[in-house]
Amino acid sequence: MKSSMNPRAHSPHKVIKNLVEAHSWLGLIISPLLFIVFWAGAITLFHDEVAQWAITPHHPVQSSQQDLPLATLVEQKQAEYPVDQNGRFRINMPTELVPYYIFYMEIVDDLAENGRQSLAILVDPKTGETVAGKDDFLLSQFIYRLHYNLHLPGGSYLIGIVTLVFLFALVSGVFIHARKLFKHFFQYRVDKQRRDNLLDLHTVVGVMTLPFTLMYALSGLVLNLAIVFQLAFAMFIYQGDQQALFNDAGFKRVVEPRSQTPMAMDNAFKLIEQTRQQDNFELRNVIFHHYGADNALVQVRGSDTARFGQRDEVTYRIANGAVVDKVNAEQYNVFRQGRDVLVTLHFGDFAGMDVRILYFLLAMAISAMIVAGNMLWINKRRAQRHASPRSIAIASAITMGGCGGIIVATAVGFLCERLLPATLTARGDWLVACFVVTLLVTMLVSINISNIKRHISRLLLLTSALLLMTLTADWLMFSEQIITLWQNGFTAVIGVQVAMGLMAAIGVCSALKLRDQKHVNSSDNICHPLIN
Amino acid sequence: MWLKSLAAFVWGLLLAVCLVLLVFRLLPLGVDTKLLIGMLLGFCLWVTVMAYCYSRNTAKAASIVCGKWFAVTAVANVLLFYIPVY
Repeated sequence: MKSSMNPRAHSPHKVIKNLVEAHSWLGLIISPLLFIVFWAGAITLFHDEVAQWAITPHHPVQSSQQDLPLATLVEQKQAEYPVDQNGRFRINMPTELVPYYIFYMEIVDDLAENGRQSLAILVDPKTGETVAGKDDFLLSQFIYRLHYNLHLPGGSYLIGIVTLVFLFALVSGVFIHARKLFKHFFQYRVDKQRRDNLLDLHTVVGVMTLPFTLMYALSGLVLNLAIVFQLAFAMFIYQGDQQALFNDAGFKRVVEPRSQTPMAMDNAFKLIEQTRQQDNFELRNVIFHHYGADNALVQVRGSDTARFGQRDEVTYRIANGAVVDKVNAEQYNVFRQGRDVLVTLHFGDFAGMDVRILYFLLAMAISAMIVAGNMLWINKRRAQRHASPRSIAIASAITMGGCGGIIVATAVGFLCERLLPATLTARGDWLVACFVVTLLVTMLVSINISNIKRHISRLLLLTSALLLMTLTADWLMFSEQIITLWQNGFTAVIGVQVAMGLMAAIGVCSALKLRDQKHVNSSDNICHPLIN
Repeated sequence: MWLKSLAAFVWGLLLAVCLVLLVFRLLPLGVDTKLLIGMLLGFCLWVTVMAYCYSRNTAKAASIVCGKWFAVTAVANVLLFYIPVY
């Protein structure tokens, strides 16, 4: 009955018009989260560089000293902490950028619900000292978590849904723009009298980054929302046997209870060393199962430096050195291989710094495209007579406060990472608190802004000022260490500083340009929306 | 738009799962290959159905078509359920 009264129900379907409506409506809703994903993702491309910048000035590693044997370090940490031997024990190897071992252990804790808790520590490979808790220098990890789960429990599913909508926005964008996709490929009209600069920016960036965004959307879905199809397969194909599904997908698990017979673990370190010596193998981490028992296993994982996206893994039974499971270029599983290729493409860590810089620029361009899309929606609404001022105010606050707030909060995060004392209890929590408070305050002051360009200009100037303060603090607090680190080959500290300086300069230039534009064209529809 | 979004999300999910399960049962390839194809195809189908739903004038119009497809694919899945595939 109701549908017969709806004139749209019987009219022909206006496919493009409907898709435009959906594209802009959904785009506006997911925009703050999508902006966080791309902004944080862009910085995460330099996760290890940021970690080196944060940690090494506090805890420099003496490059001239010999590394202690891994076996000695493991025995030392086993004695130092009440390690729960039923849990897994993982060690990430030091790298050129992060020169510490990272030990992940389960330790006995009577206060915890299940009687144990996870512990991750950074260990100096030269002295064996525990340098810090992994989350004490949280910035790089926090930004990474923002990227994939917003640092919230269950956040990865939310980001998965956002990614799904993003993929829809890409597909609908292609339909909407299909006729002009090739003809207007690079069209960006610079005529200042025109009002469609934002539209040009949105479409040009959208078209040019399409292969990149499609890859990101699909790989992001595989990483965050694969559980949907995993459950479907497990329920309807494997009749509830999840382990059989994992085995077929190339993620075999050896499930056996811990033996009560103790055994020395010397052979494990020989096996690790023997695997490390293999051609084209870069050791990344090792995982012990049932450490110290006679049925202990060691999983040695790394990457094949001669092949794209190839991750090698071998699991040994420590007692006799027998290979329990092996994955490499010869013995591979198509699902796992395909997933590894997608993950490698997603992280952009397959061809050095230049590819990561390219990824960074593309991600920044997409962040700008997201903001431009929102501005288009706001401008269009302001031009309509019966548009609700409340919805426009909310959209403005989301765009300015959400997107602008993330930028300012990131700069605050960098400043806190440098200024907070290394020994401060719950240092990571303080950093997160500062980040969240900055974001909320920026969102609050962004409500009911009449002059959007001036507001953006102020936010950019504030961000630049914060970055310059961080740079100054760097040199006031750690000038000697920074120079020594540079001399010892830890160049990422100064690299991050250069990046911060560049971002500050770009921020100041953009802010000044936005201010100038106000004088050039004071009747701009963005500056004075109510005129429209 | 909320109704259309609900229809797009739910029908997209149901149809994607049904079609992917059918593909898994019918493709004459290795299990690992089928799992990879299934997962990638699943997301593509989900988004395709979403795009279809949003392109209709109303959620009801989208639901009628998607409902029919769901009925067909679900029945096919039920019929194939008892055939072991791995």
